[in-house]
Amino acid sequence: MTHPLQPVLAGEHAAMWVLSFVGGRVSRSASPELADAVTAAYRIHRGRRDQLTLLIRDAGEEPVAAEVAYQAPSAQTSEQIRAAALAIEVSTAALYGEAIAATEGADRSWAVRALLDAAVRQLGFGGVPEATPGL
Amino acid sequence: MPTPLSPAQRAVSRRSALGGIGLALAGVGLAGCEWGPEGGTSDPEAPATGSADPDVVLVEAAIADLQVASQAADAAAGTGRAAARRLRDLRAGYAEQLRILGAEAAAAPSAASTAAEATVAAAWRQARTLQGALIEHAGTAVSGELARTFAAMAAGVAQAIAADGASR
Repeated sequence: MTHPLQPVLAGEHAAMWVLSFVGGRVSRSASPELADAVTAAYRIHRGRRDQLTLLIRDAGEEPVAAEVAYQAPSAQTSEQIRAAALAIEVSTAALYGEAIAATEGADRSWAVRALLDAAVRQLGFGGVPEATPGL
Repeated sequence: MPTPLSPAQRAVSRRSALGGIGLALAGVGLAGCEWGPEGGTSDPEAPATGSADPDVVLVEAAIADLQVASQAADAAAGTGRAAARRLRDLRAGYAEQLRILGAEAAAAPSAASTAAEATVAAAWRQARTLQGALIEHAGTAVSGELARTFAAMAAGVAQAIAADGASR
């Protein structure tokens, strides 16, 4: 793995897997807002994965593939689902931050946009504003 | 990344980042600050260029922008409105960001003669301006770690703006 965005792509694979896992356990009738938020987050990370795949392939590298499975979080209650989704947004924000430090130009701009999006999305899963999310 | 980072891992990462930046500032002073090649894209072999260092210019600009935004938030937070708590949180975030850059918040001008509504609106308008400036600084910083710091600050401001919007 030499392209600085490869770790971010690996993170997007994991984010999609976890969000898909918890998305299958959230009750749309009991928690419609949470269900919508998880679905929206999944779609955003899927879009990020597709963008990263293209960026890395355009740079002449083979994009890192997803693992077969990841460690499933506890997702029995809405609170656990919310916490798992928040953890994903926090961890991907950290990856975006690391990518910003390791890139420049268009790749860095991509990572900056992704960091801001992830930071704001954290609020929808119970996160609170911080001075420097992703640092 | 098979699993999300644990809280402890995040804390270590955060402390490392903040500590590195703080040490860089404390060790050489703002005029000659180095943002470190570790993880960055700047050339570690490059000679120090003192006050001509473009990253120093960015840090100074960011501190000035943060001071202005902090003063606006401080003035609005003193208006006694219901939105004041969000503004105090915003100002606390500014203070932490200024500490990271080795500066302190300046005293706010009195808001007594200013309409409270306009003061609050101005504070959030200033926050959006600051966010844009920090994003731009993140894109142009030579040091990767400094770029990350600016971007994280912009993300913090974005969170505060979003939280304020959600509370209305």
